[in-house]
Amino acid sequence: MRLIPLSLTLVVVLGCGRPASNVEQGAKEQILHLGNGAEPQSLDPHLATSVSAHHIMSSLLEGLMAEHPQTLEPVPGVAESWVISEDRKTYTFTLRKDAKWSNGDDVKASDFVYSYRRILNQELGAQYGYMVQALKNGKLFNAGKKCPEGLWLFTKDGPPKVIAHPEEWAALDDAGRQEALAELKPEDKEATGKCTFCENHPKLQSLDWEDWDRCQVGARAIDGRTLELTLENPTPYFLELLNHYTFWPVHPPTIEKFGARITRGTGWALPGKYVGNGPFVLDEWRINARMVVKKSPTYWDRDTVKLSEIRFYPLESVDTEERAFRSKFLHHTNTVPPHRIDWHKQHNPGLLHLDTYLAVYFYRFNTTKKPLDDVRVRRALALAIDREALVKHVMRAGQQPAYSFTPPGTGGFTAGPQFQSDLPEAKRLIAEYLKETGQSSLPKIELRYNTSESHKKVAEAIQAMWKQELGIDVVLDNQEWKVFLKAVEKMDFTITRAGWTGDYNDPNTFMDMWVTDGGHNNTGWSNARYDELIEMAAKEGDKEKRKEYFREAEKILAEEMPMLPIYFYVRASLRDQSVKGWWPNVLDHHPYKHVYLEDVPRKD
Amino acid sequence: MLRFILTRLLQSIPVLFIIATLTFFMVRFAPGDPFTDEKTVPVEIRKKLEEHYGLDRPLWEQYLLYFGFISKEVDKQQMVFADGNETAVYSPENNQFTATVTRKGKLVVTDQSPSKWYIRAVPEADRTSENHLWEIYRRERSGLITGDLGPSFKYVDRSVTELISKSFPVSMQLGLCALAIALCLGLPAGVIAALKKNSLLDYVPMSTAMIGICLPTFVMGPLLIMIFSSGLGWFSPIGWYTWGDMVLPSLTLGLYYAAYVARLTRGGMLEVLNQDFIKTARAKGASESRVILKHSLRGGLLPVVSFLGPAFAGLISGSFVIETIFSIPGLGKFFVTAAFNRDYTMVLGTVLFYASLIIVMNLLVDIVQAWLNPRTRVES
Repeated sequence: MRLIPLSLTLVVVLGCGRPASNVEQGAKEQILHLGNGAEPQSLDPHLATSVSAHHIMSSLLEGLMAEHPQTLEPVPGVAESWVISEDRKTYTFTLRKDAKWSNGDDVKASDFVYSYRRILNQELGAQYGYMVQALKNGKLFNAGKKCPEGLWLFTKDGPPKVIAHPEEWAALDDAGRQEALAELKPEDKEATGKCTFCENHPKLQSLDWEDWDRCQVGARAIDGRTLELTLENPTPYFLELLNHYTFWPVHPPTIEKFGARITRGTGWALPGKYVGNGPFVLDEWRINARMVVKKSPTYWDRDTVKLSEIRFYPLESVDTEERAFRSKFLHHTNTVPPHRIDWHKQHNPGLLHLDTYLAVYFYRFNTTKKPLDDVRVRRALALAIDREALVKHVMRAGQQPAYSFTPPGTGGFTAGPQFQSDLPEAKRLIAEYLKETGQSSLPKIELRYNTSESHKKVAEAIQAMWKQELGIDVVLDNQEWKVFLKAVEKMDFTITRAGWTGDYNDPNTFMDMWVTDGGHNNTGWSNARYDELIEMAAKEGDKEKRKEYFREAEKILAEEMPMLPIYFYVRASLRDQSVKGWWPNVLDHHPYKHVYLEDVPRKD
Repeated sequence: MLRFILTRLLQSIPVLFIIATLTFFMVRFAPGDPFTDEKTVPVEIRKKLEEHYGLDRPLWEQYLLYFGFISKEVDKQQMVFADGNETAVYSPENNQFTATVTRKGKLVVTDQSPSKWYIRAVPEADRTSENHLWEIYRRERSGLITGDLGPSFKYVDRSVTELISKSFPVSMQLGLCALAIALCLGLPAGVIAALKKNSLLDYVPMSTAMIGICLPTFVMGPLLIMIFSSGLGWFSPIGWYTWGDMVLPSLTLGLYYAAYVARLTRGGMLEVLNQDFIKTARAKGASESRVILKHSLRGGLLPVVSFLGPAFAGLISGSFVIETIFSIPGLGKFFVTAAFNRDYTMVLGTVLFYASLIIVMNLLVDIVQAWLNPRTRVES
């Protein structure tokens, strides 16, 4: 009612012109506006844990490797070349001469060593530090466990001296060890006053910053521009792994200046203080408002960078984000509200993008609980779901039904369907189980999901399928996210919804989840052959052989069904036509140095 | 008057204390903690995180620490005696002071140390060798009574105080604009409706107000964006950067309150207009504007004032819905997200802040009411 006079006044005040929108203005000035999901908790690559933080950090930092914008293949980043040893356990990187930090310092090999030393130091409490455990002895150091047994000389001051390297020491038998001890020079004994095995020395029981050298973690700066990384196992996906932000460097002088070496929350990762080595520098960060990065004048490949600025907006509400896009406020949305996908399919087919994504939606079974402790029941439940109908009528965004756990094409590996929907077989399995246990029908089963509209829809559809086809009563239950996570961790559930997103482009990121007592297994399931296969795959350098191992592991999963794969995610987004150099890929990584904006003729 | 204000402020201290205590325990008893994540944190790392934030201590101790009733032990340092040495020395990098400990446990600190140092024997079980006998530490008092709300668990580089002090001004701006709209539209509408009772000037604004009350902000907000942003392109759909950005959110929030204010004003005015003293004033020949503005409005506004006190606290401490719809970096979002994130300190910070606001607002309301209404003035 009163809007009319008010808005009339506003018209007069503002003039009738329609101001240039972000999208139009952005194309002129090369300013990219991005919706970026949740507000990142930190931009410290060693403390960040979210995809939204990754998006921003990938503009601020650069690792040894970079990614090809289309295929995600590792391409030279800070390292201009590298040599891989015969046994695929040693990588020697030569850093490029012109790689600079944003304050003008050279990026040195020792900066990377410092970074790994920092993230692996458990005092820092880096939640994703385990990613860097691929380095030799990284796991021991990160777990704060004692370092590999060897013969060391502890001097009063200065670093410990190695007398017998851990490998040499391990190869010795008892007599050999005694001999080695006897061979110690008297002056060595005098110099130290004591000579001990690693294990017995007090310094080994609580590791601190200084213990790095002694623990011989596989990262060594040979000179300013040569970095040698030694691995625990020949990790075939190591170069891909280097593109995970935990492997990106931090600027040691800055870290030292803010006392952030092994302390969190010192505030170094904020505008004005942040020193990075990526194509952009951090300019502004207002919590819950926006994050602005500007083109870096010191980046070695600055001629490739066409954008002058990127603005990231933390928009957790998908509806808000969609409205912002439709008002030409954003060039690209992080996601699309599921209920709007159909509309955009009809009205904006050129702007809506549905890309396959490295993530799987599945249900965990608690294999320690009746009746799910019986493989026949688990298999029957899995076989009785019509996944095609589910993705077509419930999800409706082009998701792919999942008949294996690893999404197809993960690191070039496609498991192929490991089972099929098979109602008669499902009914037979249930009947067999009932007959054997002497029951007339299955007890009620509880299916739990974390509170969300879309999880509810899936659960209801599946509940109906199980009821209709197998006559099983399923009770639905939802819990708030953290309550839910805690219950899953304690295995306080019967069937529970879950999702998993790959950290890097290799099947291992999915498959190592199901090893016995794995940190994310949470089903109580264990299979010796499976564990063996995953371990063999970890040590295998040959790509084809690894794929065979993974295929067999997938087969075991399908036979034993500790969880029930439902569908593979798609990444839905809206993107303006003016955004160029942005390619769909399975990790949803878009190296911003290749992205640019082009003025396109518009209809309106 | 001063005494009244002081008493009320003193009374608020135990109230805040009880609120803080209840919140502290309630948020701790919720399942999950700040580090519960889909990707489980390895045990050793979790231990270090808990140590860093003091979550490894017994709950009662955490409680006392949060309030600052007991002091924290910081800069713990195990003294290492080199073989044969009778003393161990600790001297931090900046070399401002030196702490020397003898094997017998005597502590001598020379030069300037930021605070007093204490010493204690390391329990035998924790000793890594016979060279680790003593441990020195400082005591540091922080916590609520020193005005420190602690670090945020979620936003690693920020403190709760910083988050609140950066987001509150935004919410305050939005709240004040909305309040201005609410009063400018609501008061005249209510007064006119009361004066022209049962006429078109009553029915139309009051039914509009009823719609305004029924129409939730999450409908109104997107509607305004659709018209003025997507459609006409006058305003930005989201954000809080220019003056123009304030228009749509303030309208959304303001219109909702305007509807309330209008209805309350009408009710209050109607009641007052029927009173004898108004008739007397009219009989005495006071002008109509004087009757309305001087005599009736004072009494008629009482319900609005009592409504506005707590409502104002709510308005300026932010609205989750409005902030989400328009992506405004205000305080309201933290009330909700802090609880979801189990950001313990942030939950407590926001709750205490809001409680203090309510207390202050209620006090102001009482003062204004005393000024408006002679009867309450006598009672207090």
